[in-house]
Amino acid sequence: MNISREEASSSLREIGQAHQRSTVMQNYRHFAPHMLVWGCVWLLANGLCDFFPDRAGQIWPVASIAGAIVSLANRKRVRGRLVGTAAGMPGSMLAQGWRWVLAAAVLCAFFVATFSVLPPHSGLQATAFISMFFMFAYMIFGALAGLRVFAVGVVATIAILYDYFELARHQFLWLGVAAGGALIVGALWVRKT
Amino acid sequence: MSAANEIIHQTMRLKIMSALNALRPGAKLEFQELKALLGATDGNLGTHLATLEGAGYIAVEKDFVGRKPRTRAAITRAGRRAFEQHVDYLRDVIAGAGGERGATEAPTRS
Repeated sequence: MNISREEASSSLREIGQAHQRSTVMQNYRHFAPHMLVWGCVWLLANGLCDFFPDRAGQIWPVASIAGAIVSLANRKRVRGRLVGTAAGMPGSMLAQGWRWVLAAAVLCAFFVATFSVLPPHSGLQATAFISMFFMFAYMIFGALAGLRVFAVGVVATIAILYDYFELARHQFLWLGVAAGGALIVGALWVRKT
Repeated sequence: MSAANEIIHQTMRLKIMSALNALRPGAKLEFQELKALLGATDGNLGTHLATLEGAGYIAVEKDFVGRKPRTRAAITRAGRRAFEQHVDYLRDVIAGAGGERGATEAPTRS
């Protein structure tokens, strides 16, 4: 069996493409459940804020903590399914749980610091900013890990900006429906790879 | 020195090995996912998976999810090693170091 340079080059190209597609599929499988969870959180929390605007300060922390817990549980389940461990979450991952807590604390500190330097004029402004922050993070992640996630970030950001600048009433509700809906639909699209 | 591996070098098997090699150790891909990923037909993919399994390069696991049969494949340690050696060989060929070397004996599962 002799392999020419051209054949070797073509084989390496095919290897690269299959590797890339497989990696993207894995990324989507890991990411889709989180998008679904946070789409539901946005839909629910923004919807509640629309009806109880005075309670936004309580609704969001509760919704965020609930979302983080479900997201971590999902991570454990997906990893268990992929790797096939009975317990789902290996010891090393459990031991690294503090890193997730630290990451969440850094995010909270970032928003507290940002809003102390640039105080928002309204709850809607703060919500729109936080939502856009995460959608731009989706775009960065999507650019590196899978373009469908990037597309979801773009669509949700446009929905947030349209809602913020163009709508006059029920902005929280529409923020939840448009951005949360974009995440939910996006999650189903990403999962259907 | 690495050498060509006749089992792995076939186009579809090369893609299967590459897709499975991209996974973390122990991770599996379902038959339908592999099919979508590689654009293969059921029969074609099944045949190549059987060949790779016979060589000990992949492990195929069949079970049921509810009443639905599920087939999953994962690369074995020997498969990962053989794949990496084959990739090294291909790189050598391109670099002009191994173009005229022959294929290795196809390894069989003991």
